[in-house]
Amino acid sequence: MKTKKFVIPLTENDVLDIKLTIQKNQIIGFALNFRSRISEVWYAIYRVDTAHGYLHEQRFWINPEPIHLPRFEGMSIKYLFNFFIDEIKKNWKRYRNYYEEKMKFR
Amino acid sequence: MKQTEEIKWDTIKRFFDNVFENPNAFPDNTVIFTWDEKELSRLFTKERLRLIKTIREKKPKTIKKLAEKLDRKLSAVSRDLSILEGLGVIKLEKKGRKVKPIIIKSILIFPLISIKPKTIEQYEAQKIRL
Repeated sequence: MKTKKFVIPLTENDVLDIKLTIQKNQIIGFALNFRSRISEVWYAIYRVDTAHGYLHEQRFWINPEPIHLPRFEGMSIKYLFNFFIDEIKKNWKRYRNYYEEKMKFR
Repeated sequence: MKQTEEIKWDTIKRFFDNVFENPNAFPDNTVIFTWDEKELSRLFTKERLRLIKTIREKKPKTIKKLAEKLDRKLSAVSRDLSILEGLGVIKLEKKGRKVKPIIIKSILIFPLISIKPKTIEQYEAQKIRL
């Protein structure tokens, strides 16, 4: 089993990190991690991954606790990957705003 | 603007369609830029490109040595390294007190053509300048 890592800068301050787990030239798992630089510091904002045998996401503006996503069980890795890429595409700016809002109340 | 965003994400998705087809054909560590020309030239300034080239070719052991090779101020080099590190372009390897800048990733650039509409007059003026 090996991994391939991809870093996709969306802007100078927003990055999507992708880690793919590969076995016999097949992708068997992934992790999508969206992070932002806010006031010169990088923060993890949103993460979804298939590690530990189940799909889960972390919404760091709420808390870092993994949220299990059972409704996606049985779906193919490629379908899930594309689904969550679309989710990040649609929502990353909103997620970053939520995180910045949370920081104001710390 | 919205169209440019769509093109960016479409490029990312098409790239990963290919990765899913044959993952072993791709490098282990890759940075992917799907930026337009303006964004790319703002990040990859002449000085930063020189910095990347120097790390790749001269392999300086510390940031101070890199700054010396570039004949630039340490603070300016450190600032550029911090920006490039955050975007995954370079890595800062810490060994005790020393920090060595290295490049371990393949860097792929998918430049997006500016789709900002121009008037025919603007287009002609640009052609004449060329």
